[in-house]
Amino acid sequence: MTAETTRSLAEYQPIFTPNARRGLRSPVMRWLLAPSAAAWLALLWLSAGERSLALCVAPRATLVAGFLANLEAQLAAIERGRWAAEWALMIVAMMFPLLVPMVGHVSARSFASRRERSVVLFMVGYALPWAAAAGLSSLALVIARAAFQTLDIGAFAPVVCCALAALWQVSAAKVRAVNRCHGTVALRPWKPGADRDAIAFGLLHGTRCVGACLPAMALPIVGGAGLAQMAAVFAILLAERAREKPQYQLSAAAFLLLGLTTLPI
Amino acid sequence: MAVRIRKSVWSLPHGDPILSWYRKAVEELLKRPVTDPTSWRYLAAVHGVPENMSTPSAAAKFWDQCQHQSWFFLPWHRGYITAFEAVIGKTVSDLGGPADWALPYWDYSESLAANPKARLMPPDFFDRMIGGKQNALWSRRASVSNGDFNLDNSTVTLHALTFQKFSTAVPGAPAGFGGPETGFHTGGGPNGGLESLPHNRIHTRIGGDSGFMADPATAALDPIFWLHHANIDRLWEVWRNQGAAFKNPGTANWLTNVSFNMHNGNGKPFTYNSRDMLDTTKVLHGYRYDKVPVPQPLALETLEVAMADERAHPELAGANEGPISLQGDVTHTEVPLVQKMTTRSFLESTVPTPQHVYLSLENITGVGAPGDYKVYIDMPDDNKEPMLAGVMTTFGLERASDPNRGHGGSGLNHVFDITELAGQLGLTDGSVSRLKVSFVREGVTPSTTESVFGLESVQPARRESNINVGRVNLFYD
Repeated sequence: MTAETTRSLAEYQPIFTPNARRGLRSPVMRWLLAPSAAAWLALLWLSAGERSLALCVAPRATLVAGFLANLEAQLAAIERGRWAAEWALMIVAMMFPLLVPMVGHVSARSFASRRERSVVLFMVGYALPWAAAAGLSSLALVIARAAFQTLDIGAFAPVVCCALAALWQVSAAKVRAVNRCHGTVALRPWKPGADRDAIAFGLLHGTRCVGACLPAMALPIVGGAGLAQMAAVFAILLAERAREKPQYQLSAAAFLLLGLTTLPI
Repeated sequence: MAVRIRKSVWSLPHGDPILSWYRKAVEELLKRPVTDPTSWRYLAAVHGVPENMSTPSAAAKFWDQCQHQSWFFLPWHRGYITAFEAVIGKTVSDLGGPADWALPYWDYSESLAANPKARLMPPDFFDRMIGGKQNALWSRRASVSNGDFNLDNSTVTLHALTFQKFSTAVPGAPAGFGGPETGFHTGGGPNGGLESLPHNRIHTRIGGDSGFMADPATAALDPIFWLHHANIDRLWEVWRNQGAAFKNPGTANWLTNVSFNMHNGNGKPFTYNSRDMLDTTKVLHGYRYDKVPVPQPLALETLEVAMADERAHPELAGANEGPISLQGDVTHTEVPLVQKMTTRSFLESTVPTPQHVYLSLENITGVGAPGDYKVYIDMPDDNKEPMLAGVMTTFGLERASDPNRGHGGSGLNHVFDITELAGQLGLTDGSVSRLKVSFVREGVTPSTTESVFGLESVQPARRESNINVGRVNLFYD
């Protein structure tokens, strides 16, 4: 057996532990890290042509009228294709590296003859909760932006997102959510149960991931904070998965600092 | 001061004051408030926090730290019991006892020819009343007579000493002597060899269905816990003493990257990592064991088994249809085998000619203390006696099944090396299509119900237990 066949079966671990590092050379890691790296590059390319998120809408007589006008303008400004692409790239860039242990789990528990199939089904299941989260949070985002613009405090939206993320980091719910992200379930190995279980586990893990990470991703979702801030959020998420006893107070402080960097000077 | 010498509890001469001073110190520690880092309840909570107890914010980084199913199992517990020894030692000294008090160990694996009482708990621990008051060394345990907790050969076995590798982290392969590679990890996944046997089984046998020792959250409340862990700590020294091939991990991830928080004998906090635990004479006050014998030279076939984890690139060769609930005395499941192992996969390669065969039990979840299970394998309908593959220990089951804890409720895993048995069954020659796996329940002894003086508020609930095995796999390596 050659070194090339060494596995990245790191499911007992979060990530970047000795076992997982060995796996950096493995096909499973490449399967996840290469798309992630490509997504980061694509986001970098897209951000080069970033358009301003601020919309100029003529003042209205009342707050409600102003809000509705801003909402209408926000909805009209959405480029659906670009919106979907940015969401997809963000998920691939930020979440795929976090999937290493679970893909390792699915891979090792699948017969070689159906390994790729199981992993793909798991990934499809994983993507569905994120797709739902993308739709719902985008709607919330459009409303929030319209409200911020109506109140003329749009520039403070990123710092509000960071403050909310920091609050989430120190909540008991966050700890539970991250702990559940480390959970695996028994997967039936033979068809047809194997297909169903791979998708179901993807759905379960995706749902857990959304719960643990979505509030922290408020800043990148709001947009306009730049790729550097997005990378910073990614680093925080990566660090908390890499340890079983994450320093949540530390990451909350990091979010607050991150928020300060977005304040208009 | 010279390093302290930890002695076998059964080697102590009748009337030796070590245990009577231990009793007096425990009485003293029981009086201290739970917020005092040198109190009995605080020290026990460092291992695990009982269900009905909340963690004060000042204790957050000290409590609930015990490392299980992890390669930190041995170094963490070494620091823990030595800190405990420091607290007890200081208390003994303050009470007017010797300044060099050392924690004795209970060598239940000692040859019965050398010590017929080796497997019995010393009387100092099981007499409930002494001098008209409750014995502080007595605790809530399985209800047995004369300290006989039925520690049979399968419980006190030292087979773990044959593992040459300290650690692995590859699913399907045994986790080595010391446990799988993890970060800070309070439970869930596969046990290391020593942790599984004899460590887990001793906990289960002494704890019974609801005794303190049965649950990591309450185990350290029992004074015998510390003698049990002193012996486990000694066995680490025995393992290392077998030769240069038996060595601790040398990577920074084990040696220095993860630190633990503890208090010393004066109640002052300190941190330590695995590297600090390598030389027992330099751990806090320093200690040695009176006996660290080298086991008999290993037989060739044993060495071969010990080498099994050296390959550690196992490939899934068979698995049962789905999760099973273990009910009644015996539960069977069948494991269909892959008839033709694929030789190439985009994700991973496969093993064309296996040299090792592992039976892997995964995602073992449940509640309560169901006791251990003996796991047998045979061919379906061949009318031959099933063969013992191993013992599935369940200590820490409920903790490992809790989705809110660090491992996300994935449960426990066990891996048995069945290479020799597989050869006898012809598993790998392609003529066998199914393997029958049987789980034989051993049951647990009901525990005593009397409350323990000073620990009345800690009453583990006796409740119905249940246990499920998520998957039964066959791996070829």
